[in-house]
Amino acid sequence: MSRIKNAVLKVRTSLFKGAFVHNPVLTQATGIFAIVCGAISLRYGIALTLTLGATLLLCEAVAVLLLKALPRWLRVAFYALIGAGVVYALDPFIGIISSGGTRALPLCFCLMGVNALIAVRCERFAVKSKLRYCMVDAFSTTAGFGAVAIAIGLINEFAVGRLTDIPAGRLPFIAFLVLGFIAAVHKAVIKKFYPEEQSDTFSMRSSTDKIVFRDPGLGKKKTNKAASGFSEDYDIINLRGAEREGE
Amino acid sequence: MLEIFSRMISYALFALLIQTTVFGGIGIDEGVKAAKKPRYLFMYGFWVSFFSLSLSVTARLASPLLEKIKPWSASQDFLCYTLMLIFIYIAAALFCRYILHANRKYMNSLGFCAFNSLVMSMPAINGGSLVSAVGTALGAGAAFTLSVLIIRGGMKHINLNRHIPEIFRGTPALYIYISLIALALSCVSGGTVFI
Repeated sequence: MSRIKNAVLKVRTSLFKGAFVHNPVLTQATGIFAIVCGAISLRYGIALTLTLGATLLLCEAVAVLLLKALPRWLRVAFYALIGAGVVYALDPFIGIISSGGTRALPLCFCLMGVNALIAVRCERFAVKSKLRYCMVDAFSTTAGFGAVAIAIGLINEFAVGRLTDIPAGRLPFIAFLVLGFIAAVHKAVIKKFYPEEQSDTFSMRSSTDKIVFRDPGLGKKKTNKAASGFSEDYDIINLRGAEREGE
Repeated sequence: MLEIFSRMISYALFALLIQTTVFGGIGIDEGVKAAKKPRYLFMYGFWVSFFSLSLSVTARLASPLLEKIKPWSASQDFLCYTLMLIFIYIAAALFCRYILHANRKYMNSLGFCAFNSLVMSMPAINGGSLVSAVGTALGAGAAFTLSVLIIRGGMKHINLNRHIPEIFRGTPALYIYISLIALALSCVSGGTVFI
């Protein structure tokens, strides 16, 4: 009984971490295309999430069961083929959802099939893992993407669409701006409640970054682990980048 | 001949300066990823242009055949374009692997350049003729490279700027930076910006 409880707890933790703490859109900047171009209303947000969910589940399952033996460059082609196949199978659904929308909407749904998010999840996770973990990963990634897509869809529908005469989705900068503020709120929550989690992949202040203390007089450098705060004499460098340059 | 060339240049400039697909959202995922790896920037630019051009031209040449079996839906078109791109990609990958003896990292990046929303949207946005297809594809490839350079420049400065509050550093600041560039470009393209 306790084993089942433990397993349920593990799955719940993995789902939560995958969907919220390491949200693919807010921390890794993947899947932005669909959100910016397609999530113009609540309905489209939900539809995009379902399309991604179906594609990701199938791609991860095929990757873990059949594609592990292939080289990576060939696997990517299979993901695209599976994505296009899923989109083709969902054709009636896409037709119903995108009716009344702009001409670009069906294209946007189709492009979900070759979304970078799918290839990234399959390559970073699925090919190195087991089927049951892949399913959890696919659900958590879809949930994380869906939360952001639905939030942006709601804002586009009820704020941008009703307060202005501008058709939602016409101005991609609004979606980027809203995404920026959502990402900031997300980061603040993570920092407060999960300070041990370093989830933002675009922040240079990761565990491998160091602050270089520059001594203007002697030109010598002393290094220290990045802690907190900045001073006029400090410069942040990315050591991974510096090491590569050194090579 | 000169007229065809000038039309092609016009389409390329239109794609580069007015459409600016990346800041409109198409190909933004790959643009941001490429900006993280500046060493591969021109390789990405070249291959994105190559795949855009190849898919555009192939789709345009195949369009009379596809039109015979219409009516097609967008997803059926998309499936056909994906199959075309897979053939082009495998040919390019084999060339790189066995003729150029490309290493594993290079081969892994090739898939990223081929299967993305920018390349796959090319047949839909490149106009009606072969000249416009070639011009738009070349312009979109150049626009991708330029966009990655702009994003890379911004990322570098954002990460080093100590005046940005802690919670805005990284991805939030990057999104806001991209939104400002997109806002500026929507003014150039004639999009409605203010009510």
